[in-house]
Amino acid sequence: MYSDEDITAYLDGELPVAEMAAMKTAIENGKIPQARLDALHMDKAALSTAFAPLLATAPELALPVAKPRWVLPALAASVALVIGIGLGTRLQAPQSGWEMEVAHYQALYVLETLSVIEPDLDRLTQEVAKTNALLGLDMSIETLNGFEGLTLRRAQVLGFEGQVLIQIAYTMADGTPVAFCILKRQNSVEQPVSTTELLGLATATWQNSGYSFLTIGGDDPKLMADFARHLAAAI
Amino acid sequence: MHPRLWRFAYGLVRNRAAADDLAQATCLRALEKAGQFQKGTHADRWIFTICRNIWLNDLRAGKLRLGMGVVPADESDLQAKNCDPVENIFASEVLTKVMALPDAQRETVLLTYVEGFSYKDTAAMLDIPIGTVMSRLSAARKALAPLNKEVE
Repeated sequence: MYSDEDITAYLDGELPVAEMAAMKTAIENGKIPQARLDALHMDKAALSTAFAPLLATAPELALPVAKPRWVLPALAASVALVIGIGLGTRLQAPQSGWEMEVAHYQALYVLETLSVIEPDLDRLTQEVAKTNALLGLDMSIETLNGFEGLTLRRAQVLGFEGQVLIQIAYTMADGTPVAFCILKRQNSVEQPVSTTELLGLATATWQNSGYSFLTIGGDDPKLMADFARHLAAAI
Repeated sequence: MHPRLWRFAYGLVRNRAAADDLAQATCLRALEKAGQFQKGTHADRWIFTICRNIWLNDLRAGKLRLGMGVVPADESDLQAKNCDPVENIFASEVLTKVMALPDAQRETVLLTYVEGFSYKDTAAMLDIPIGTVMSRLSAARKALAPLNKEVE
């Protein structure tokens, strides 16, 4: 004798293959009264249709800013992507794409990332020269390495949407990674230094004609703003 | 994923504002527990489980008892736009019936029939035996069956 649970599982296609076949035969042979089947009949498609519009009415998430942590953002980013909230666009104040791309990249850095790179002056000189050539700027090692408390470690060439994006990497005394990033950008307008927080990282941004700049790292917005002003004054 | 999460949350709490809160709390908890998520496993099941656990805790704490009445078919919010009005009425009735199910049946229906999870996955998310999933769905089908007859 079949239970209502068995019939339900049959209707849902959840019985093992052999039992599905046996139940089908039992129904065809009239061994299960039609009234029992009717009592369990449900239009699953109608149910699915009825709930579908709810997907379109879901609100966007407005989550508070994440606390600064070094490891969490990288882990959280994968979860956030799955949830669909996009740490970059929902968790923080809206930012144009490149700043958040930089923040995501920076969030992957840990204390050990840059501290293993020796600040070799010859190498750094070559890297800065290459950076200047690509950007059309004239930044000196003295300017780049002249902010107290930060040690210049590396300048590397990246790209964002076909534009040159330079990341100049620093460490604080305790190894905390910091970056100064420059995006070559046509039509950018003059904007003074302003601070924000991206993925829990203190961030300062500014622009002049042709370039967007950003300093990011740690959890001290004043430090990033001071660093930004130091650079902005010389570039 | 977020619209599905919100829909599931709405199905649990049956109230738009509470669904907003539950979905948001779920996302925050998921971010906090991101390190516990096992790569290669199904994120949707993990997040639905977090959502349901928060809902259960809120129920136990009495946070959801007052002011969280059944508002199952807010026509301005929930109906498909540009649909046949008759279809909308039917959809509204289906929603109303599902939302009126007892909590245990409703959460099982939401996961199995709305979200399309297998009995096995639903059982795992609700931390119950598959037999319990079957009995809940059986009871829910009986409760929803009259709707078919009314419409037919």
